[in-house]
Amino acid sequence: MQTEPRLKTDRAVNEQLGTLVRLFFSRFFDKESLSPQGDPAANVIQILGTLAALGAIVSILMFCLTLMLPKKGWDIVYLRCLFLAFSMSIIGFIVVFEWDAIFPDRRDSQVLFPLPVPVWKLFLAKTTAFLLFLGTFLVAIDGVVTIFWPALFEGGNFLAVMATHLLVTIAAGLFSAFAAASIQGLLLIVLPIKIFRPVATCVQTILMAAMVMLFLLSPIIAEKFRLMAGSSSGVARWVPAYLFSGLYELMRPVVRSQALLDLGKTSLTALGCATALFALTHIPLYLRQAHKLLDPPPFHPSGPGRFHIALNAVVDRFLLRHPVQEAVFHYIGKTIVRSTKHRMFLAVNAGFGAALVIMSLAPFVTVDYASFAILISRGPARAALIGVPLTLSFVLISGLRAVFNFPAELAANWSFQMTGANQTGQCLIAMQKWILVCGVIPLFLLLTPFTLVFFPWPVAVFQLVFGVMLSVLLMEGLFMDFTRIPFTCGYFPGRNNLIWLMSAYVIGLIYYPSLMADLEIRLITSPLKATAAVVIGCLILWKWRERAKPEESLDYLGDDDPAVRTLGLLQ
Amino acid sequence: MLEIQSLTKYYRNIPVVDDVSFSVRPGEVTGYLGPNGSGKSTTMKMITGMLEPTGGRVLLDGGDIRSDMATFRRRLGYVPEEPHLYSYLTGLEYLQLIGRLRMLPSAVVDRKANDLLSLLALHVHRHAHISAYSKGMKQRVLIAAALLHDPDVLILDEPLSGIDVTSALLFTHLLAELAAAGKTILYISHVLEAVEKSCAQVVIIYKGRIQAADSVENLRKLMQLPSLMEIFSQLAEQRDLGKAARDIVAVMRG
Repeated sequence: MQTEPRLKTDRAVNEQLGTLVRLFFSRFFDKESLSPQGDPAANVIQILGTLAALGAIVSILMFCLTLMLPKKGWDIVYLRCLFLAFSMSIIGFIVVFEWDAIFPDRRDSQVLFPLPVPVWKLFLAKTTAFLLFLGTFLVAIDGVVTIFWPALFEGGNFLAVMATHLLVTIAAGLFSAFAAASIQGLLLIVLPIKIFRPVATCVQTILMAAMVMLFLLSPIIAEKFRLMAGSSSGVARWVPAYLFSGLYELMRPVVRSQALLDLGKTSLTALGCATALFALTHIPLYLRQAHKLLDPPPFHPSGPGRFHIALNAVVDRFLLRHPVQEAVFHYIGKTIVRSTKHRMFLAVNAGFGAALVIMSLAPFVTVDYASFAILISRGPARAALIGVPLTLSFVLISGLRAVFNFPAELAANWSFQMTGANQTGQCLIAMQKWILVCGVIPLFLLLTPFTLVFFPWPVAVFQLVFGVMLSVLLMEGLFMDFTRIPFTCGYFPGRNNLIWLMSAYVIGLIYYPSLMADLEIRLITSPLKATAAVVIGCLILWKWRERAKPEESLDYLGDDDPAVRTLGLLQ
Repeated sequence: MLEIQSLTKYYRNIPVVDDVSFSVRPGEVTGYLGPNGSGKSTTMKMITGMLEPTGGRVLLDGGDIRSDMATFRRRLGYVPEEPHLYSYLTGLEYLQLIGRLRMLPSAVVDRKANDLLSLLALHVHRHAHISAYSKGMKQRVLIAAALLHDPDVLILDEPLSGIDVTSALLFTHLLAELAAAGKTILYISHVLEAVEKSCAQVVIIYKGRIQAADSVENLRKLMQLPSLMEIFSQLAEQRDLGKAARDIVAVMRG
């Protein structure tokens, strides 16, 4: 008689846990940056499909590479290392991106804590959801390649090769995920709660940029493996892709190198350490965080400091000189600093830029791994070095052009529409000033000390002036049809012709830095020519600005019927 | 004076607002009432210029607002139905943004923003991000933003939503003061007692059409009903609400 109610209770408990797991799993995708139109389910499929496609593209690229390789010995080690570097950086990126979803947040506290659900069950559900999430992504990234791996890259027993590949990639992915997740846990332990949030945000942004950079640098990382593994410096032990390439060698030897076998053994220790660290940092912290969320958030922050206030006053007085310019300029700065999705986008862009710079300089750089000395061959590297600021400024300006189109808060742009300050010119001037003062000029100033190492000071000064001038011209060109206040667009991008945009971007990125670097090399030989070029550039700019008097009103809604949008009938 | 003349909005041949006409006189508060989905907020969006009407026009002091929307918006203070704000800004930063977009000098914006936040009991929270604010606090920020530039016309769409009793009482006094200062005020609310207390005239809309537009006193006499609540029930709500309540309890128990 008593068994039936107990069975019912057990079923209810299991159903509750299952519901929570499903909820937390969907929360990993329920981010505005991932699902701007509020359809997380559709986005799960889209993201996984994209990753699977990425895996397929990686295998095709690698297959093309193997056509030129004899598929034996160190070439197989290279391919293994290349794929591991790819997949580990993607998993690392995803976990860092999802940092916030690993712990319960304010929405959880508001929705779930009033319900009769014990904290341990929330923890269990959250951990299960995280592991499911990881598993799904590992399958999406590694699945396609695992199927093709034995046929395309390694001979031998089909199933054994496939199983080895699957095991190693899963181990590498778990290491990458647990290590990335543990950084957040460690920060929570080490830092006082007051400064945790800003520091964690900075670390998250830097890590995301680093992961993108590592992803793009995977071929270079794999290429250096043999050299690094052979060196006595022990640097290879600190590169995760090398460790797990060693594990691959341990499970399926192809070169029988003792150094690789040692790396393989170290990889198991590393995986154990990362798992233990994840468990140790997350179980107590979860409980701590869960309780902390019940407390109200800090509500009386002290506001900006004296330096911040003084700096803003100087900027307002000497740079902006119009209330609308002040409004737009500060709004852009605050949005970039505080809006997660915009910061993430710029981090990805920064990682992309850093990878491009390293790739352009890599052929001219020699690293002595014993002494960690970096040697750059000055003569041939000259053109590449001159191209560095130009590449970075192109990535920066085009990145800002893209990120400005992404709305900060879709429904909040009424504040701009209703203020009646339809001062298109002032708004666009403020935007251009922001790009210059907070983007282009700091970038060139930051690079000037490096330029001074390789070039005499007059050349460095010319590079600074010429680079800034070119950047202004580039900005004018890229923002030619931009008639909106950044982040106030009434819809999410996606309707534009992405293929066209990407093509234009890639062509620009290939030709702009190299052509301008060539021009700069010719100009620095003659002070007269250099001065003439700057004067001509300034004249073009002046004439351009004379012509471009923005008369049209600011664009908030694009070309769609505003009536339908405002009624919310399309959303 | 704000005049709404034959304002109409169709969406795919469905009338959302159908031939709505009424006037809002300066120095008075005009209440605009209707159940959810009756077309109140759509009317507001058309009056503020955020939505293009299918037909009709809105006149301010005899001039069509569409002929010079920028000037109209300079004279307008608007509290929208939903508190959509830039949640990563602080309350003070939001007011500074709005003040500067309204081209007020920085010193004036800072002074007025701080004063308004103090008077609306938000000063201690001025440096907290709006994301940490309650709905009532967000509403107060919106009210402050609507008043920052001393507008001639105020359109207030559910300004009391989520607001505590003290702030609601303060708001009732504020409406009277603003009306006394000669402002033209259009006030949407579901709090019928507040409307009855503050408004010189009420306009009742149901299914996109105006059902009544007169002073509460005249409506009472005309319909021989004792309160605005009963007038509203008669004009805009035909269901037997007592029966509906009993049905809800029955569902809950089942």
